Amino acid sequence: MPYLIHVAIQLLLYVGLAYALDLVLGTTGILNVCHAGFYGIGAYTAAVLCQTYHSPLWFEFAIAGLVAAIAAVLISLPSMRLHDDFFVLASFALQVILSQLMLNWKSVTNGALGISGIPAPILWRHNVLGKTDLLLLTLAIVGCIVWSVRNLQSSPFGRALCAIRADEILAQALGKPTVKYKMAAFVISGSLASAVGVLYAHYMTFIDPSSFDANVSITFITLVILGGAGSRWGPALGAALVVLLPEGLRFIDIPNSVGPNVKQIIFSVCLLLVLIFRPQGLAGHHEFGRFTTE
Amino acid sequence: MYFQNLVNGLCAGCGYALVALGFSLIYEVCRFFDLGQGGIYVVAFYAAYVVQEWGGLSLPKEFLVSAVIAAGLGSLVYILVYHQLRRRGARNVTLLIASLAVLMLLQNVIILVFGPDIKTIRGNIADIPLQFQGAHFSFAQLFMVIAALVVYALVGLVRMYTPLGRTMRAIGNDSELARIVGVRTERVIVATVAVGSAITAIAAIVKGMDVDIGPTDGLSLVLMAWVATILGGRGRIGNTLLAGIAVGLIGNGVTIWTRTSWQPIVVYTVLLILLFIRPRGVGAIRTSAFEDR
Amino acid sequence: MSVFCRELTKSFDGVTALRDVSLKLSDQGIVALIGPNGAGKTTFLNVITGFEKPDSGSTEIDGTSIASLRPFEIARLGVSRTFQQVRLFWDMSIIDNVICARQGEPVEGPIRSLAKLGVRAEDRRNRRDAERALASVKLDGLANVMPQNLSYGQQKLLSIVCAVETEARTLIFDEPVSGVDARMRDEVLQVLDQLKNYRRLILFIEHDMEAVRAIADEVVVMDQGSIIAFGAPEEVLSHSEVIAAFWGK
Repeated sequence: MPYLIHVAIQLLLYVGLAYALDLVLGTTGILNVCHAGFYGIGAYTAAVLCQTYHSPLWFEFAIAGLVAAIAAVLISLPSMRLHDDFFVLASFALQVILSQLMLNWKSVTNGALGISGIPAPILWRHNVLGKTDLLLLTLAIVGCIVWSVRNLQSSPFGRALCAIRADEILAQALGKPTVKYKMAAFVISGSLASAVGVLYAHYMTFIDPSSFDANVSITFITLVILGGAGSRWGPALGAALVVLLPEGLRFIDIPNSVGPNVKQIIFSVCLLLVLIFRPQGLAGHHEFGRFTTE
Repeated sequence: MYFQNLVNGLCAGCGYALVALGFSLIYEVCRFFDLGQGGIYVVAFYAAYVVQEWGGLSLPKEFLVSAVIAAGLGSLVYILVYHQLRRRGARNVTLLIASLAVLMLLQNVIILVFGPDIKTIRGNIADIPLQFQGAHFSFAQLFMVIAALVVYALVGLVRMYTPLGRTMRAIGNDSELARIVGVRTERVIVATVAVGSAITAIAAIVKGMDVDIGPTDGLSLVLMAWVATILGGRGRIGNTLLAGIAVGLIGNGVTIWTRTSWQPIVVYTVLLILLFIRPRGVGAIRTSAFEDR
Repeated sequence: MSVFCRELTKSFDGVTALRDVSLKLSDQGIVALIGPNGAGKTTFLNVITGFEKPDSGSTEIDGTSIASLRPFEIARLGVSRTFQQVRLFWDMSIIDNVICARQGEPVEGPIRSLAKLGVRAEDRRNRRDAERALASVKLDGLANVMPQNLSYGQQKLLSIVCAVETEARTLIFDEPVSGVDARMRDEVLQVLDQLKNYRRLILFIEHDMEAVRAIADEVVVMDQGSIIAFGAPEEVLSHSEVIAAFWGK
C-alpha cells in the first residue's frame, strides 16, 4: 500500500510539472530548459523555510512562487524580445546557474549532500502527518494547478499564446504584446513548478541537487512532447509514461546501476521518434514544432 | 599574478574557441545550434581513450581515429535525425530539442559502456613545465593555443579559397538562394557537419591532454560553446576565435576575486550579462522584426 | 487618422530601398501604391507599420511619432496590415483566427483570463461578431475549417477579414488580390470598397491595374525607392514618367 501511495504522489507531482511546462512549451511553443530549476527553487525554499523558521505551508508556497517569479522575470526580460534561440540559451544558463547554486551555496543548501529531515508541512497550527494526508494535499494542489493551466489554455489569453506559437509576426501585426504575453506564460509556468517543488520537499523529506539539474529539465520536455504538447491530456499521459515505465522496468532484470541510463536512452530514442514521426505526441492534435503552411 | 592569470585564461580560451569552431561551422549552414555536438565531443574523447588503452599513447592515431569516428557519427546523426526533421518542416525549436535528445542519448550510451567515471588520456608529456616571462604553464596548455591557431587558420583558408568553403559561406548567407542557384545544399551541409564534428573531436583530445573528461562534461561544455558562438556571430569565424578567448579570460579572470566554489556561477552570470548587452548575430535587436527561416 | 512620413530612407546590404520618401495620407479613402518590382513598396509598408526601422526620417501616425514603438504598439494605434505572403494562424480554425483578431487587452490579459467570469461573456460576444464577419464574406459555412484547407483566394480574404476585425482605422494591404481568381478578386475589391463607408483609410499595394482603377481614390507611384507620382488614378496612370517606369523608355 505505501508503495502505491509513493507512486501515486510521484505521478501527481509529475502531472503538475507537466502541465506547468506545457503552458510554455505546448501552448506558446517556447523551449524552456530550466523547468527543473524552478522545481528546485520550490523544494529548497520549502526546506529552508520549514527547517529554520517552521513556517506554515501557505507561506512556503508564497515565497517559493515569488522567488521563482523573480528568477523568471530576470532571465526573460532581456531575452524574450530577441530571437527564440536566445531565450533557450538564457534558460539553459539559468538552469546551470541554479544547479551550481544548489551545489555550492553550502551554507543554505548543504551542497551535494542535500537537505534531510525536512519536517512535515504545517497546515494551520496543525501538522499534516502521514502519507495519506500528504497524498490528499498533493491531489488538491496539483488539481488546482492543472485546472488553472487548462483554464488559461482555453481562455482568450491561451488563444493569444497559440497565436504567438503559430505566427508571432502576425500576432504583433494584430496588436498582441507578444513579449509581455510570453513572459507572463513563462513566469506562471515557473511559479507553478516551484509550488510543486514545495510539495516534493515535504513528501521526500530529503532533497539534493541531482533531482533538479539539466537532465531532469530535459526529461520534463521529453514527457510533455511524448504525451502531446498543448493538448488536454497529453501532459498527463506523458507524466504517466515517465513515472510508470521505470516501475515497469523493475520487473525486468535490469541492474540498478544502469537502470537510469537505460531509461534515459529509451526516452531519448522515443523523443526523437516522436519528433520525427508523430510530432503531435500520443494524445495530441497539434503537431509540435512544425511549419504548417500551404 | 595577473599575468599568470592572463596566460591561463588565454590557454583555456583557445580550448573553448576550438570547441566553438565545430559548433559555429555547423550553426552557419544549418542555422540551428546542434547541441548534439556535446555528445560527439564526449564520444570522440572516449574513442581516443580506447585507442590509447589498446596501443599506448599516440597522438596522431588518436586524432585520426577520433576525427573519423566523430565525422561519421555527426553525419549519421544529421542524415537520420535533423535532415528528416527538416524535410518534414520542423522549426528551430524542434531541431534544438532533437539535438538535446541526441546529446542525452550519446552521453548515456557512453555511461553504459564505460561507466560514469572520468577517464584520462593525458600522458607525461602534457605536464612538462614551461615558462614565459614569469608565467608558468604546461605543454598541454601551449598545445591548446597552437592547435587552436592552426585549426582556425586551416578552416579560414578552406573557407576563403576552396569551392567547399565558398559554398559553405553561400549557404550561410542565403540558403534559399544557394538552392535556387543549383548548389547541392544537402551534400555540402553533410560535409560541413562532418568537418565540424571532426573539429569537435580534435578539440576534445586537445582538452583531454590538459584535463580528464567524463561522460557528463558534454552538457556543461555546450553552454560555453554556445555563448562563444553567439558572441562571435554567425559566420564570423575570426570573431568566434576572439569570443572563445574572451570566454576563457573571463572564466579565469573571475578566479581572482571569487572563491573556487562560486566561480562557475559568476562566470555564467557574467557571460549571460555579456550576451544581453552585446547580442550580435542571431540575437541582435534587429532593425527588422522579421525572423529568418 | 493621418499618416505623415518625412524623408524615410532605408538601405539593405548596400541596396537603397527607400530614398527620402515623404508622404501624407489623410483621413479616409482608398490609396493604391503601385510601382515595378523592387521599387520599395513593401519596404515602405514595413517601415510605417514598424516592422523595419528606417535609417533616417520619421513617421507620425495621428501626430504620434512611431520611432520608438514596436509593431504591436503601432497596431494598437489603429494600423492593421496584411502581408505579401499570406499569414494566418495555421493551427487554429478560421473562426478562431477571426476571434483572435477581435479580442484584445484587457480581456486577453493573463490575470483576467484566469478569472473566468468577466471573460466568458466577452468571448461569446467576440465569437458572435466573428461569425457575423465571416458571414459577410460568405465564409461562415467554413467556420471550423483549418486555414490550410481553404483556397488561396479564401486565405487572402480571411487575412483581410482579420485585419479589419481589429477595428483599426488605417488598413494596409500588401497585394490583396494578386494570384487570386477573378471571382474572389471581385469579392475582395467589394470588401475594400465597402470599408470606405466606415471611415477607414486604406492603403494597398497592387500590380493589378484594373483593381487600382476600380476602387482607388488616389494613386501613389514608386520607382527605385522614390515616389514619382501622386494623384487621381486617371491622371497618374497616363503620366509619361509613370508609364516609363513600368515599361521602360
